[in-house]
Amino acid sequence: MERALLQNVLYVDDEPHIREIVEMALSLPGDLSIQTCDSGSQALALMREQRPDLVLLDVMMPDMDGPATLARMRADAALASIPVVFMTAKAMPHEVSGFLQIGATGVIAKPFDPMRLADQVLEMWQRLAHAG
Amino acid sequence: MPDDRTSGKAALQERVAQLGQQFLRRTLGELVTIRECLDAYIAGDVGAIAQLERVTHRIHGTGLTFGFPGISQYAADLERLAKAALRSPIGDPEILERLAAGARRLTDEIARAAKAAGVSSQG
Repeated sequence: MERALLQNVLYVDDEPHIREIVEMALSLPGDLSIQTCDSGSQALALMREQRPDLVLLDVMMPDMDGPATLARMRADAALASIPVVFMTAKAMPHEVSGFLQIGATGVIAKPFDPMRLADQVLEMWQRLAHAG
Repeated sequence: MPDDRTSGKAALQERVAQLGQQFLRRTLGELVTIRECLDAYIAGDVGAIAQLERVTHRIHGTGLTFGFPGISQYAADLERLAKAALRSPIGDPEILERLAAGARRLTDEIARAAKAAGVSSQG
């Protein structure tokens, strides 16, 4: 399946300062629409309404963490095909491998460089597009 | 005249610096939590070490983003030690010693960075 240009991104993180930085960082290219929210349950509701092209998920969040949110997405026909990238400090090779095994498209390690983040996300989207 | 991306980067850098000050202030406050977690763990409360893992995970994941690689690194070290403690018998003297040393290193680094930035926990 050919993927279109990346236009809408949802970022989910319970840390408000990191949400703000990610939103600013992803706004740098000027052509991405970014939404943020602070929990997995809120993310699922937003996804059903707006169907983002890509979801960036923090891993450690209270109540519903990143992997639980991804599992709920994969079990929901309307959300199952939305690619998910984890943004996490849990980025040891075995941890990354575990995230890929449960269905993540990729992992961006925290701490991240705010000046490079948009390029990292766009590169990941390009790889996904080429993988078809 | 700067283009939108250049001015956006300047605004982002400025905001990262502002939030870095807030990060330091909050993290100075969390040193009390870290100390309390260690004390509670030494007293036999396993839940306290899980809380220590959460606090240090946050500091680890946030520190470098706001320009504090040393804090991020020492928080990561303490996070790893907390995970190791969760897999070890409570009261393991080697783990306790390593946790205390890790907490000291993180505390010293946070205090050093806060002093350099002129930040105190009172704001």
